Formats: sequence, structure tokens, C-alpha cells
Amino acid sequence: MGLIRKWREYMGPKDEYLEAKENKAVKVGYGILIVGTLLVLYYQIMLQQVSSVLDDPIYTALRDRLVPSSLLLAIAILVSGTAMTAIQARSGSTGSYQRFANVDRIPWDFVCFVALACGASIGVLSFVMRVLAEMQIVGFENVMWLPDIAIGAFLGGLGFVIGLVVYAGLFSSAIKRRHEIERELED
Amino acid sequence: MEDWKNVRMKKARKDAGLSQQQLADAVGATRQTIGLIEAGTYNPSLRLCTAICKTLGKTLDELFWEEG
Repeated sequence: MGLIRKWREYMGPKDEYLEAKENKAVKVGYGILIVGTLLVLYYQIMLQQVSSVLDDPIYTALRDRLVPSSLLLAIAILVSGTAMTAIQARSGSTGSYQRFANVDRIPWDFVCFVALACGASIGVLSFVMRVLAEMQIVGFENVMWLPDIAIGAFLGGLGFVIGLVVYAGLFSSAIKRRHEIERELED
Repeated sequence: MEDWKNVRMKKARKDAGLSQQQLADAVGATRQTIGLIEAGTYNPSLRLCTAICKTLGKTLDELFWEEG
């Protein structure tokens, strides 16, 4: 709770117009995610049903020829996230807090910090999930700790780079759009 | 952009010698928000209306009441 409070203090007060825009972006992203998830779920159910009716069990070589539902779910998440980011950028904002609402250049220190947090989260998550999977499949004594750490570090690094590019791109687009809006709304 | 613009708010701000950015800083909003209110494309909350009125020394009626 202390960290969240400090974060809010650092980010400054919220602007109500930006907050309204952010809410709209989240609403659209949420809608896409729900519809996408439902479609994937329906696809998965139908896949199992058809497989069962045709006496061709899904856990055989047939599985290699199918489009995995996890891939479709990842696409739904990616589309909803992209939609939210695009709506935010089009409204000339990167969030509802005022600290970076009027910047004219990309705040690289902040962008690096967010990308670092993103990379660290992905790295730790990848490591923990791999260990959990291995514990269930090959047992705790056969967990491959070093390779798991290496994979976590690699995916964490990848997450940092992607986070950096995406967040810097969002800032760049939002700044350009905000300048356009400000030119339209002459002082 | 809608046809209705808040000309009275813009005039009151200019009379007070404030830029959009200065008014925004005074009421805890962004310049974009102030510009959009003046352009009539964003309806502010009562809290923000009150803050704008206090800063510009006007009443809610004077700045935000729509005649007719």
C-alpha cells in the first residue's frame, strides 16, 4: 500500500478529461478481450466435441495440425492491448495522471523504469511458471534451476526491450497528437 | 467540434490575464482539458467548474449557465 501511495504521489493528481479518455480506452479493450476469450473458449469446446465425435482423440498427432487455443487467446490479449494503447495515443495522452501529461519529449528515465519493471515481472513470472510446470511433470528433485533462470533472464530482457519500444512509441504518438489538439484549441 | 463554445469562459480567462496553461495549473487540470472546455467539446465536472469559477472570480451561472 505504501508503494502504491508513493507511486500516486510521484505521478501527481489525475486530470478528469484524461481519466475519462483512459476509462473509454479500457472499456474498449475489455470488450475486445471478453469477446475474444469467449470465441476462444467456444473454439476449444467445439474442437474437443468434434474430436470426440470422430473418435480421433485430441491428445495424439492430430494436435500438431490444430490451431492451439492458447495462440488465439494470446492474439485476443494482444489486440485488446493494442486497441487500448491506440485509443490513448489518439486522445493525446499516456494515462490519467498529470505528471507526464504535458511533456514535449519522451521521459526516457520514466520509460526505462516502466520497461525495467515490465522485464523484471516477465523474467520472474517465466522462471516461477517453468519451475511449477517442472515440479508437476518431473518432480522437485529434477527441476532444472539454472536453465530456468537463464530462460527467465532471456525473456525478462526481451520484455524490457519490447516494453521500452512500445512505451516510448506510445509517448511519441501521444505527444504528437496532443500538439495537434493544442493547435486546434487556440489559446 | 460542436457548435457551442464557451466564449464567456474564454473571455473571463483573458480578462483575468491567464493563459490556458496558467488556468490549468491553477485548477489542477491540463491545458488540453481547459482548451476542450472552451471549445465546448468536453463537459467538466461540477468540481472542476467550481475551481475554474473561483480562479476567475466568476459564478457558475456567469460561466456555465446556458441561456435559452
